[in-house]
Amino acid sequence: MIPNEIYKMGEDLGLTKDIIDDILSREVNNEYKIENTSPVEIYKGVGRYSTVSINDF
Amino acid sequence: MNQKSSYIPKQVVWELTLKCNLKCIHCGSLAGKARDKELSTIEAINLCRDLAEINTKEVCFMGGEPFLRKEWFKLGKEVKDLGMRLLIISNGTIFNNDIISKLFQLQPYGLSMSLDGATAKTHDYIRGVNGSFKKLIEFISLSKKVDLPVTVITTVNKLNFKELPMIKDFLLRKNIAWQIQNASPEGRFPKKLMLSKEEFYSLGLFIASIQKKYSKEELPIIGAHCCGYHSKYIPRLGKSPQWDVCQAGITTLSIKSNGDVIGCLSMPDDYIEGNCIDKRISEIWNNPNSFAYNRKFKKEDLGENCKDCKYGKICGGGCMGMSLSLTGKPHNDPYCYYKIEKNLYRTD
Repeated sequence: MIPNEIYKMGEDLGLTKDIIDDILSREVNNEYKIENTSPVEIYKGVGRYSTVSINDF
Repeated sequence: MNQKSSYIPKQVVWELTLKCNLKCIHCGSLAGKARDKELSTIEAINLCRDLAEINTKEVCFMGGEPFLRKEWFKLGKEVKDLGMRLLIISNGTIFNNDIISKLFQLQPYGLSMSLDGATAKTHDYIRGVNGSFKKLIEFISLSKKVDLPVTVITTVNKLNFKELPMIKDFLLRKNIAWQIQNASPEGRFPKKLMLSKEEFYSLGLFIASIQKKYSKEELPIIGAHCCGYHSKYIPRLGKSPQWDVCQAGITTLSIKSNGDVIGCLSMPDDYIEGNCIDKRISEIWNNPNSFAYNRKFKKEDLGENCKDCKYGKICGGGCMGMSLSLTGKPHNDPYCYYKIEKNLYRTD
């Protein structure tokens, strides 16, 4: 059951009920295995006090 | 003695100066005046060489406002000549033809600017100085004209939350990357302006919806590390294959303008590991006892919010900055999609 407040806030962000229902209808796979690779190669994220380059996409 | 560490810094974030011309309400660094004792040019050049010695991949200049440090170009050139990638985070209001020309010469790997509203009214209010929106848009435009690789960073709070769709429309198909992150009560930022957990969750849905709808050519978008973790429904919003543990001291390293070394600039001074004037950076980085909160993290270190979570060992209790600023404790980030979903949907 998706609370109405999520639909309301989604609406504030231009998200229709269909868009929200679509995302929330599918479970994502949170299982993963760590490849035998250095953390530097694995980590492609970005912290709040660092940045990503468009060249990384 | 200088032991080698198995850790390699992917990105070193270097606060070139704390001096800043803006007065942003969310500034976690309390930027404004330069620190009393900032690194001299020689010390800064030596630091560049030391960063290369520990195999740093990327150096990211930030501030304060990095373009207010007069040697920024010389230091940027040093970084590049040493074979490291250069990135710059600017507030986007300090520029002229000379700066654009020098940026073109340097060809940084990334040039990021902060856009905190879709309108001048909102952006200027958050940035604390009228006219900053107009200057920023001009800087973005000039940078794009010479093909600089531009990223826009939006730090989301209650004041700009509803303007995100308009910012999206502005960025769409402009070949500009968009980094979205959550403001937390560090430095000047008042807690009352922080997103609620439900708003934060909706922000995750927003980023996910854009990633689904648009190609990375149309709108390359990323949620920063704080936009996590282990949601049942929201896919990973960063580019890593997993919801990562905080990378402070693991693949990221930060240096304050006075040489203080810390895992991440979002963390309080209690976490400073040393100063790069007193000790070589390699000595600090390679010390097996440095950054112990992350390098030696174990499940027992998880705070109240995370200790019973089945994913706690993997995400390490989320963003250290969020965790410390909101709860005063490490590994205890309350802004977590997984926990929010458990409350919203009564899921496990």
